[in-house]
Amino acid sequence: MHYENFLFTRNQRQDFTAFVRPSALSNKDVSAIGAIFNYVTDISRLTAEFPSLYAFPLGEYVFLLRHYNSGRKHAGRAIGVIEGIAVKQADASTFSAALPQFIVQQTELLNVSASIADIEEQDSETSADYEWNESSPHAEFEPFIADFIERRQTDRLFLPFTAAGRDTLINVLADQRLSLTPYFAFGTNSDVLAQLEHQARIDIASFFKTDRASFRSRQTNRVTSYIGIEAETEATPDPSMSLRPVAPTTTSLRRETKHDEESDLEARVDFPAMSLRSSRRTEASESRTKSIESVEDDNSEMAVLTMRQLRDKLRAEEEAAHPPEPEKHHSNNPIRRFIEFVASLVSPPKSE
Amino acid sequence: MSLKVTLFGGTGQGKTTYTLGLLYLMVEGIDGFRIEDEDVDTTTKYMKPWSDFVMVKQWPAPTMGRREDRFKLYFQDQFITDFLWVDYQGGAINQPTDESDAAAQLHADIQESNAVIIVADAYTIATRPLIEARMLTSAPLVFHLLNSYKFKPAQEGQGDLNQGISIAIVLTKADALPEEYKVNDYEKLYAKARQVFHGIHDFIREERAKVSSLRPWLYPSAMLAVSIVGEGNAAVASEGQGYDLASFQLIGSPEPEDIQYPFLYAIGNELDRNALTLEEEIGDLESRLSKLDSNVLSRILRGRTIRQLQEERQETAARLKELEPKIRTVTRTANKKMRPLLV
Repeated sequence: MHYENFLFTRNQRQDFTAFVRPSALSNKDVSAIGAIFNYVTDISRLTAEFPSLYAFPLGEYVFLLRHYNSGRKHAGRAIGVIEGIAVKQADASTFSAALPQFIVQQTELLNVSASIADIEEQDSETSADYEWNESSPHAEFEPFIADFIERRQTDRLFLPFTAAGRDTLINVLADQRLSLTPYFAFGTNSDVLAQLEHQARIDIASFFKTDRASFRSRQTNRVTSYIGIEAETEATPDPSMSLRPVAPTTTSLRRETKHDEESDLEARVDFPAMSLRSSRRTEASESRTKSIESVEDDNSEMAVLTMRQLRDKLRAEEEAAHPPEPEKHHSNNPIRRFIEFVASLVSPPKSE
Repeated sequence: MSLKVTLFGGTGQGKTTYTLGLLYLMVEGIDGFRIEDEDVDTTTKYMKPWSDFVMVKQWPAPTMGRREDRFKLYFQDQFITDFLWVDYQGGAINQPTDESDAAAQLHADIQESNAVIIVADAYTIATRPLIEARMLTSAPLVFHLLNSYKFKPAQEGQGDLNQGISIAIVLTKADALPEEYKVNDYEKLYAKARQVFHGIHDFIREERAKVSSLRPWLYPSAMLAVSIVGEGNAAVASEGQGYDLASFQLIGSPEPEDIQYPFLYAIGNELDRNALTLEEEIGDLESRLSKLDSNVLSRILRGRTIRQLQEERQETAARLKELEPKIRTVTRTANKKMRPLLV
């Protein structure tokens, strides 16, 4: 199998660009990668030893990329590195079989920036062609694989973003029962995942905060079952919503205040018929209805004129410099004036 | 009516932080203005890095690609306009279109934009030699793009009224400026910014001097010194040299200052451009009506055409009437704060 290198980062003089790019990678593909990873807003915890890992197809290639903080900075901001290998889609099945070994060797194999003598002096270049002949490691079979295969259409496998999670990822990828390449985003967020889904179906994911293996619905991203704990299966509720107890109103210790309900504390002394709150509401409402309409046409303090104000100013200056000649308005011809009078009776009235 | 506003500028000028700060301010509302995202997740996505910026004092990650998001602008809950916000990485401006898709997209976006917001680092402008400040802010390339897609086509008669564009220059990091650049309402900064962006400045000046047939008011342009972190909340960590820009350390909680005005200026002027179009339509209709009116025979025989034109004129006038208070609302706020590019 042949592969090529990809390196996307920036130096001090050049913004994010593909310094090393596979030969058939289009500008549009490079831009797409930039747009995808744009949604990672914090790379502080990503290191070359423990980076985010991604496998997905794009254009003519399938990619295995890693994303981490380079330690370099530009204008005080951390510079990220996205680098890895690209294999032509025709070799996708071989790529798929080699993925576990690629990940095991990620610190060397994906370390494209190590091949650059000085990134500050680097210009964009096309990658050389490399050959891969190694065999994949023997992996342990994960007990949940059968379940994963069965629910792959509807659920994603979520793994913790930890060293153990990465080992599980390698084991899953090495399992030959998986007929199709499972694309993955290991160490990411939901925005990046959504962007990647435009390229291909992502089967395995790990958010930065994922600390427990689970299956999650592709549609809702809710946990459908945790892996490894039998008791917590299908009925596992969504942690953010369903676990929150619904307190019956009658047992609530604090009386609920309805929107249109007024408290005695807010009663306005000098106007007992109206509470402070309702008064404020009325004032706010009045001010809102008035707001746009009541804006006065006071432009005296404007430092910058609008287009029409500038137009009027320039025209006024022009007219002051070259005053127009007075127009002759009315005809003194009595016949013409008579015809005009008749016409005014026939034609529709002028509207303002 | 939907407006397209493209934000761009050189690398490291503060585009990302400006966008995050602006969204933070506008989501809850400031000066009565508020924006709402079309996709409910948009705000959440922007707010996460802003939150990290505020809480962890960590500068937002640099932008790596193009982003576009749709919003609606409100003034005290009354709808003003829809707009599309397009945000770029600085590198897009420095690359030829045949080498970068982002560059190609930027060129297309500028062509289609109603307004552009150019972000430039005030500290760089103030502290670097003029020629370096021009290079680091990408000022020549900013002019080149505007000239290629907005100025030149209009001069060559390829455009119409809408070929104009509103230009707002945001001078970021103003809090860090040496004192001499801050006094007299940033007088010295604005003077140097005019030199840095002299391409745009000279174009506007020449149009006002009527060296071409273009109507000079179609290119409103202004600038403003702003601070995303607020006075005293950031300290210079390292001075810039060569391609290295000065870096800053956040030492206090960010308190954005004046960042909403360039955005409101861009929107307000484009609303005004719509009003200008409507006024010209009305003027055109009135001219056609007066020609028909002056021809007595036409008035007798073509009463129906006149009625149609009058109805059209009434309808256009009603649209203009509806638009006027919105324009005043936005421009009254923004145009008082902005400073003219041309003095």
